[in-house]
Amino acid sequence: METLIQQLINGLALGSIYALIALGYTMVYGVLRLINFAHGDVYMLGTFAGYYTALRFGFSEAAPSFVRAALLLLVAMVVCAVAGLTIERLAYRPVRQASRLTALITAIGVSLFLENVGQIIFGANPKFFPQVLPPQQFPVYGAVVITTPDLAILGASLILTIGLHRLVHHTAFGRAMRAIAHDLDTAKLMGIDTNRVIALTFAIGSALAAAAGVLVALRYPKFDPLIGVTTGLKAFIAAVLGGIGNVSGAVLGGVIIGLAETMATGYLPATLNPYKDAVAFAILVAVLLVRPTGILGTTAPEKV
Amino acid sequence: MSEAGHRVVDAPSLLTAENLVVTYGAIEALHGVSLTVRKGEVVTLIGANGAGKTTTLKTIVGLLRPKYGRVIFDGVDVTGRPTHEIVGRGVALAPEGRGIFPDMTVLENLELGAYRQPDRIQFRRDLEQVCTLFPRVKERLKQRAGTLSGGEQQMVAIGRALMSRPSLLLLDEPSLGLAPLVTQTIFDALSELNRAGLTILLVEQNAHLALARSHRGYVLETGRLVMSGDANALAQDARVREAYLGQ
Ligand SMILES: Nc1ncnc2c1ncn2[C@@H]1O[C@H](COP(=O)(O)OP(=O)(O)OP(=O)(O)O)[C@@H](O)[C@H]1O
Ligand SMILES: [Mg+2]
Repeated sequence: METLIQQLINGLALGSIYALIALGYTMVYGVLRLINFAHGDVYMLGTFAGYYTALRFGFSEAAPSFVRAALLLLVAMVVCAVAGLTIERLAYRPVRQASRLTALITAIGVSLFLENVGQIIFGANPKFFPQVLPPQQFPVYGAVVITTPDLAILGASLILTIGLHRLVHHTAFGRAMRAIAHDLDTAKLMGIDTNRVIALTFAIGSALAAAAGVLVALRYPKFDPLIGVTTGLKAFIAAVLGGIGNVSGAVLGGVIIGLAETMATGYLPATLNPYKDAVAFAILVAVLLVRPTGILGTTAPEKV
Repeated sequence: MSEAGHRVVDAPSLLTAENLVVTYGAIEALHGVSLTVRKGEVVTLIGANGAGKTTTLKTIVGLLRPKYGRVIFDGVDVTGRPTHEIVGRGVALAPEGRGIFPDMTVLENLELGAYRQPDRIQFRRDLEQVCTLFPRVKERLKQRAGTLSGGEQQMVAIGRALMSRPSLLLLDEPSLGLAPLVTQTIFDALSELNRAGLTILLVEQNAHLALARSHRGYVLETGRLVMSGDANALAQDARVREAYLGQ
């Protein structure tokens, strides 16, 4: 029982990371019908932005503190928001009128570009994120504990997800985003500067990925310029699983994938452990067979 | 209303389209369309399926870019300007098929119409006006727009266009698929808006009704204007009667 609860906490934390990244996939898909393959690499940039900020300001030597961790999070979010804006402007906007295949190939190109430039600039060898959080544990139930990184991950993701939900459903900007997702031309007729809203959507999605990048490093400090590949793919699966284009679906999908992966690692025989990354795919295939639109996806026919 | 035609004859032009040529890839949909709408007028553009009516409206509002020609609105050349800017200058389009956002509430749809309106007090006032114009809309504010009947959706589409406080309202077949009684309600509302000073450019297949409510009209045939003039005269014209009024 206690093991199960512990696994649930770990799974939720991992799932929150996937959820934060999945939100970016789903928002960009919503407004552009584009699968932003470079999104996982923006997440990687987030980790590096946090890492270099920590080094630059001597956070690795300073006493661990929640405030400094929050600061790293904010800086990384801003850096990646700017990166997201730049990518949209330089890579995606010029091919907006072109075919979807062109856009897809562009996205793959941006992804490869970021991964390779990352290896050149940051080096391909793994780095270790400094310990910026106080290493504490809080008892939850019996022998079950929650560690500070897990607490930070769960708390920050919850705040960011609620914030995004409010933005999407209770502000003019959110209405504009949803209007664009439904129909670009009609959105323009509302007087919406759609280019601006699309660019800001990239910025927000990228900032959320950056948050995930820093949060994950608080718990799993080892990272390199290719961490975005697998994690990005799983977050993408989470977005599709929940119903791509659907914000709540991205969160749900992320949590499901995170829980499933943790449970699989905890309960499958050790010989199957190398296959834990396949769990996400297995779930995806199973769900899509039953619900091709994903769990919360609408059945609205795809626009051309 | 058409009897008031001479009242606006000398009014200055609000919208001028000059020699619009618009293409979809290799297909040329408009071969040089020129039309004028004066301040305070209701003008109808009639034409058969595929004549280019929607294309004309989309070009005016900047959703399509003409290959040649210009669009002058309120003395300013807006050709090639982005749609949000043209809307900001005072043009609103209630599009073909209504273009409602079905998953949003009626109120959210109206809020979107007022997207460029930062003044909440003005917003409330405009909302109140739309609700007075269409009491049916008022009853449904909290409802998902997709659950409304076609007529109610058309009222939302028009109300939404009004929320941007336009000086020129473009309407693309507002009577499409509606029962005659609902169509009457909508045209009554349009007449009321025009009496209050709103200039209207209307696209209709229901030429009879539209001409009866307009000052002037244009007839579009496969991308070319073939006739224009006083709405009464057009409604009496033998060719128009045969082609568009089914007489
Ligand atoms: N997106 C498009 N791509 C290619 N051709 C188009 C497109 N939209 C319209 N056309 C063509 O342009 C011409 C004019 O179309 P338009 O929609 O403006 O006509 P319309 O007068 O509004 O017709 P309707 O009464 O059916 O609404 C038609 O021949 C149509 O087939
Ligand atoms: Mg049309």
